[in-house]
Amino acid sequence: MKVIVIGNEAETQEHLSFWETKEDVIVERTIVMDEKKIDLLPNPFALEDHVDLIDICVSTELKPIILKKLRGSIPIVVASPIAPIIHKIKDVLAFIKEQQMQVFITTPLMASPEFSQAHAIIANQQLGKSGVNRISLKSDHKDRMLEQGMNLLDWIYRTFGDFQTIYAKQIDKKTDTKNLEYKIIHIRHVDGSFTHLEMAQGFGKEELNLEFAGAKGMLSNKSGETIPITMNLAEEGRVSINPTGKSLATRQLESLYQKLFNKQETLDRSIEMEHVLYFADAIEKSLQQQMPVTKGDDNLVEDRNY
Amino acid sequence: MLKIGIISFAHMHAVSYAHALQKSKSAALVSIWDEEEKRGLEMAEEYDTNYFHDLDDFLASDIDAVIVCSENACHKEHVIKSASYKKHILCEKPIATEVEDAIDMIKACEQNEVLLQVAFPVRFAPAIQEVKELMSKGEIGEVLAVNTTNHGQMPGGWFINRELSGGGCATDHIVHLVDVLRWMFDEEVTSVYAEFDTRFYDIDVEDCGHVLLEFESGMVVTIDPSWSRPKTFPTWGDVTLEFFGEKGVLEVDAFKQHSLFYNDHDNRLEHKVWSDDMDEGLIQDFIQCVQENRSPFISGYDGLKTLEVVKAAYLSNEKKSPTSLSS
Repeated sequence: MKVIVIGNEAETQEHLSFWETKEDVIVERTIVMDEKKIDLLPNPFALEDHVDLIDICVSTELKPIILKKLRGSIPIVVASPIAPIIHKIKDVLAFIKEQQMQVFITTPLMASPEFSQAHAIIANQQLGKSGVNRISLKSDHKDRMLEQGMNLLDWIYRTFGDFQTIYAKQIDKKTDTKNLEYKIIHIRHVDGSFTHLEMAQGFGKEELNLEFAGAKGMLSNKSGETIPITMNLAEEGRVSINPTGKSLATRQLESLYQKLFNKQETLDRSIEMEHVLYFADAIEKSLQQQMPVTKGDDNLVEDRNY
Repeated sequence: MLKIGIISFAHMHAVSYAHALQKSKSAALVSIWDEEEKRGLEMAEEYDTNYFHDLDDFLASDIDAVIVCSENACHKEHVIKSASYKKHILCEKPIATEVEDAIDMIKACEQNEVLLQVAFPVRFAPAIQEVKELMSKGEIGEVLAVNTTNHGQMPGGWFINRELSGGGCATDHIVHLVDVLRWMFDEEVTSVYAEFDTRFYDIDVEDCGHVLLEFESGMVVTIDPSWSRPKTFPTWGDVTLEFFGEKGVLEVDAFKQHSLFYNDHDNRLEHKVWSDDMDEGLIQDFIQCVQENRSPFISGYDGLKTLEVVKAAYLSNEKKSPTSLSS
């Protein structure tokens, strides 16, 4: 299999390292992008037509631009989210559909160890009938919140299914030094289970807490309580080290590689992505209307023409 | 020495209150009345005190005050009757199962000039009191949102009999957090959205759900009152609050001060809480109230306001839309 890697300097090396471990993969070409000089991306038609896969690893802002430039029939792999805002994600998905492109959108959280483990435990019914799920993400990085927000909705949809009702509240506050954003999303799923998703940005805390309670048991994971290494240095104070083992990119690509070669399942995730966008739409509508949004009600008009 | 009687051991908190009375130097548990004679006699023996078969005889005795720990639906009858006998009252939460009942209870106590305190012991947890202090100093600035939980294990018994309890986990748990927040911020709830369900157990009342509140200041509060703690959970449940303020985040876990007990004998892991006993604090405060004839720290009105939120939550669950509350 011949692969072309298009990425920024930071991520390309990681992706190359993965592909190099696969004996049946030849990295035909590596295009390291200077993200400030996007115009220098080669014309897609100049790319080798016998390439089997294009692996894109650029910042989320650049993904829509590159995907549109790469229109064509060569399969492409790119991590979700494929654009930084909902509107652009819809736009890119519509473009992919229109151009009949083969784009494999990987879900980072499905490859993330704690989330993939939780997904497997829940999917295997080890917690029994799903009851109340609590997810709390706190970060001071706006980009991370945007990306993780979409990725969390993606994971929630894939793990607990579609929503019946969504009620969201958001509080924004600008202080002298920063912008605070607190968002709480109440999700009632079609199967009746609850998901309580909290996202807090700018409060000086980096944390991801998970709790899934079912009729046969409960699974919980707090990021602050699973850090295996801490050092207390005389001058620098406390330093925490959380080795991740295999990188997230490696885990995602490994999963994709196995699916590609074993042809285990369809790699077209556009339908799932549309469902995730319905979640995002419902949240937006609930915030605008300051009311719960329920599927089938007049206040949620699903636009299936993404 | 203040003479106190306990009306019913139906609620398990009665045991804790009886222990607290045993430790008190200014009050004594002198008698017990319980509709279930067997339980009443057992408790009287346990606490070396008298058991009364008849509630009127019990109330006609020389006790100064009573602690009402009967089933929620019986609070009204027991409080009004105790008030008619001029006994001061500490009533287990929730104050009642209906708002109108709570109003009648408050009126009866006012007319008979007896104190009515509602048992919200969480206010007496040292960690919660410390947080109240930090909040009053504005340590995290204006609070924009609070994420709270009062989880528990499913208690069974009359708690899952709607006629006696008034409802499931929502009735059992929402009141604690609403009370703490009203007390800390001195403001009322203006809007309630809630959804409940029965998903963990095959019972007739709700065992899980979510509640979203808005307070007068616009502060958004979420409450998870679910009986979602598994049988293997190392303690009965939790009371946690996470405050999101302009200057940062403050987290409190009322029962975080505990040791871990790896109990091989019973094949389970247990939390052994070692912080000051909040039930003892509650009882001590009630005793002082009566002795000093001062207004209760937690009044019948506090009980009423928290009950209003619970009822609004049930209404919201029914209507599938937020319920407004006027303060």
